[in-house]
Amino acid sequence: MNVIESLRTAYRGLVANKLRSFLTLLGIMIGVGAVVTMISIGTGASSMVTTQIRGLGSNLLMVQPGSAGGEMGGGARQASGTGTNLTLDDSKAIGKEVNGVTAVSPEYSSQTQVIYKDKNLNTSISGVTSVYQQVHNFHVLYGDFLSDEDQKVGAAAAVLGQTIVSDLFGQANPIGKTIKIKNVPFRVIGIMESKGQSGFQNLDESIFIPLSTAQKRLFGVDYLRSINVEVATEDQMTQASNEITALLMSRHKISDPDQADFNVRSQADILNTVSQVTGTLTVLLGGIAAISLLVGGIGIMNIMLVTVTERTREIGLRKAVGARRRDILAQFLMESVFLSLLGGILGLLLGMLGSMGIANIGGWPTVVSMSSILLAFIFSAAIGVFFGVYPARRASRLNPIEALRFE
Amino acid sequence: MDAKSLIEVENLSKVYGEGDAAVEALKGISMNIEQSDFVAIMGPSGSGKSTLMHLIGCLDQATSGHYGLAGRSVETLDDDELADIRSHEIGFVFQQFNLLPRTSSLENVMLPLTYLRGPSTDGRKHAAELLRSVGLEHRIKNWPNELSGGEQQRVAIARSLINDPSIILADEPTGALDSKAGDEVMAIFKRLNEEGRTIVIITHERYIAEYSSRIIYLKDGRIETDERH
Ligand SMILES: Nc1ncnc2c1ncn2[C@@H]1O[C@H](COP(=O)(O)OP(=O)(O)OP(=O)(O)O)[C@@H](O)[C@H]1O
Ligand SMILES: [Mg+2]
Repeated sequence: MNVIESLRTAYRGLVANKLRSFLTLLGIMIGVGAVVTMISIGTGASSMVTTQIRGLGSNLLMVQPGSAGGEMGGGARQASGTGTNLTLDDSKAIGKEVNGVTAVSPEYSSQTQVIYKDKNLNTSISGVTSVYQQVHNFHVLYGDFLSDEDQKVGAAAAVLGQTIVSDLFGQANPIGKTIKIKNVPFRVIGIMESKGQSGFQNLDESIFIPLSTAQKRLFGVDYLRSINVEVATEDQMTQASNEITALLMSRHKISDPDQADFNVRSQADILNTVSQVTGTLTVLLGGIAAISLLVGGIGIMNIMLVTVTERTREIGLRKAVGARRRDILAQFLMESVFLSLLGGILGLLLGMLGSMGIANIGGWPTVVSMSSILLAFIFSAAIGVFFGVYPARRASRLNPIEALRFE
Repeated sequence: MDAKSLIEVENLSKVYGEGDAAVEALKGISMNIEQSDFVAIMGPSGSGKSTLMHLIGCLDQATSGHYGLAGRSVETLDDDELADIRSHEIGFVFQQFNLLPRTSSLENVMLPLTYLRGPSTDGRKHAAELLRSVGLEHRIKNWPNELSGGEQQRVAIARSLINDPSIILADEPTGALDSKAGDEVMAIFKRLNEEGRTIVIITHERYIAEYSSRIIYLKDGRIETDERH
């Protein structure tokens, strides 16, 4: 019995029960569709975050308070970015003493309320210095950026992100206007270029003010949230990172690296962490969706068992006219694989539609990758084989005489 | 013994089940059937007729004894080899016809070709010829549920012939038919036998058995009489 013959036989078997075959196929279709959609969401998220982090620049080192995280057994540790032990002096020391450093940007940012006339919003206020533009490769578009003078005197000057401008001022020109941040009046001196999502924050939704003003007048703190260090070349990154660690440990009087109250990370480190997180997310989403695929597979097995029972006499007859075990096995296996593969193909289309829908409606980037298409095919075929083998074996092992007698 | 017989059965026995539940359906059957013979097997219900036919048809293996078919010892064959013998040497006709539902007469007749390993001939044409030879040229496209019992049984006979077997085995082929349809079916078997085919049928009816040239009478798993007429 050749492949075409058994395909034809399988096809006839399925067509004989159109509705039943379709419902069974629907199970696989929904399962594959769900898996493809979920994986596309995960993949989309991860590629989005990755490009954004890459956009931050590859020769940046980020120093944040808190432990490096990751290691177990260190007791209760501070989460990254929440400590109060990084100071402006630390930042200055890095600029002076570490080799290969071209610029150091000390930063303090916090969420607070901003008012202009009758409009108000809650957004991120970043206290930065004049080097911020250079270190983050993020520049002022209209007007001026904050100067060293502004930092020295603690000027009440603000540079706005693009979203802030449109939210507060609409079409009007904001330069020279006064906004209130935490009820302190600030004069708008510039507008930043558009940068969009960067890492975990949207820079277009930020307001930049002098670091000294942020620390003393607005939030009343004397520590930093982060120090961003620009290194001359990528080759010097590791060296610079080690030197910063050593410097800060001596400044903070810490001898055991495991006890460090800060951490130094590069783009690569952050990328690693993030891709681990999004990878886990993808697997989790895909895994949940795979459960529905499993249920679909069980549906196939169920229907195949029913089919085998219903067609016991047919199986007996086929054996009587010369079918070998493997012919019967092939016939029923072909039926289940045919069902699941067709379900897989339709499910793939469903998944592509679903991921397009999510991208359009939810504004979430989705990517249906070649590998998830392949995965859908291989998986659905494998499910057909896995859940079809038992019923097919059962059919192939029927005793022809008993099968022919079956009522 | 001079020339080998087509079918050689020596002291064949068949036991169903084990232990207390064991049923000895055949208790040492010995006989030969020659090429081109027409044999009717008769006997009371439960005497082992169907069991014997299943063994002859290689649908089942004997518990003990020897069965030679066209010179091959069937007891030494495995499952696949038995399937091959059924495919090439044997045509079955059943009391309940056993046609595939929702399948045309032509496709039903062609079914055994699916499992025929060997050179393929023009099956469609051959099947149509066979249907004509049993008087069903006008029913080629019909499904079984559109045919009378007699017509269905004639489709089944055409099916049993498609692989050109040397033996046709029929277990009560007229059991579900009235006497007119039964006579039509038997006339076909008679003609096939005259064309040289070996035919073995099981029947309860004396007038059906009269079509044959030899009647074997089974009782309680043994041959009681075996005579030509
Ligand atoms: N699969 C089986 N398992 C157990 N016992 C069986 C089986 N098949 C047949 N038998 C027993 O073997 C004996 C012979 O059965 P068989 O079917 O050969 O009789 P038969 O002569 O064909 O009867 P009938 O004329 O009613 O068809 C019976 O006693 C029957 O109960
Ligand atoms: Mg019987």
